[in-house]
Amino acid sequence: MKSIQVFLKKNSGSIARERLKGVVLADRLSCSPETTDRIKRDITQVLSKYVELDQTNIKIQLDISREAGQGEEYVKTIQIKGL
Amino acid sequence: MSEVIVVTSGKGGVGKTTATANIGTGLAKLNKKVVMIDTDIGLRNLDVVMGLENRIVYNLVDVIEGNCRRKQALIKDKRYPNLYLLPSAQTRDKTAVTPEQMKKLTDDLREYFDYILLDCPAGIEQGFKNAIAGADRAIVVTTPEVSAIRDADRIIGLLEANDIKKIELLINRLRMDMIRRGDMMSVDDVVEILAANLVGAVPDDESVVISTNQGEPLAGDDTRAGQAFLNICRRITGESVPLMDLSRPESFFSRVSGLFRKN
Repeated sequence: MKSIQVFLKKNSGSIARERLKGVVLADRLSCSPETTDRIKRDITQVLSKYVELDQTNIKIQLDISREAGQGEEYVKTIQIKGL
Repeated sequence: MSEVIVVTSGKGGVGKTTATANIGTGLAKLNKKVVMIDTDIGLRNLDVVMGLENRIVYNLVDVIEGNCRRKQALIKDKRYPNLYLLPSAQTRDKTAVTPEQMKKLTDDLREYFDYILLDCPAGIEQGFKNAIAGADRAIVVTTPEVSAIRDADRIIGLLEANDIKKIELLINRLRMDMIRRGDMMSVDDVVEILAANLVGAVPDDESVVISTNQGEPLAGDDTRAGQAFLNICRRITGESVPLMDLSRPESFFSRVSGLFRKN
């Protein structure tokens, strides 16, 4: 995943957008970017106990949904091998 | 029904005072009775942006401390029949006023005005708390930069925590040339990150600097920023106005808006 990103040169606008999503999420949850990284890592570990994950091609996205009635919740997008 | 609107941002230098001056002027042009209050005690600026700096006798702190009557401190802008400014004090600090006093002042003014606009200082301390105390509605000014957007997100959180129901986003200083080549976040990007309602977008336009130099707000003028600000004012009054196409070349836009002005 990382190597692909290196080859695809990103423009600064999308870099800003991705970075902001990270800091804004961390601010809203009042935890550091490192903590959100750890959350992602832990989620991977938990899931890999039960399903076979493609470890080289995994992407977990933490997001806050503000839709009415839902409150704040995490959205997890996990690619599972063979699906 | 009158409304108290606070113009805030968190980060400094994104255009709160310019936005307040132009929204106030634009609303006055739409025949609304408006008072703008500069709540940045110690760093007053709304008076110079409005070109009214030579007419100050009394200020916000004088009104609150009862050194003068409210009416004596309100400066009437002679260019518009319905526009007033309550300037801030320059030689005092934020502790001269409490949130309760601000709320009382804005509530008292409701009787006389359609819109009470509060120009909020930067930061999230006392001055911010004073400014939002009496507000029904907030306009959060940001620019398409990471620092301004991050601060805007914090401010939105604080406004929500203070029970301000109507929070809208004003994105200032957009540069279409940079957005086109992918070197600036677009309006959609900013709206998506902040998950807030948009009240309008203002292009980065040199006419804004010129108008500030002259002390004449440009809302409603024949410039793109002037039109963008007037559109924002229309949306504030509840009118539904589509977002201006900022990517169009200036000359064409000027010609189109020129056509409308003749009518």
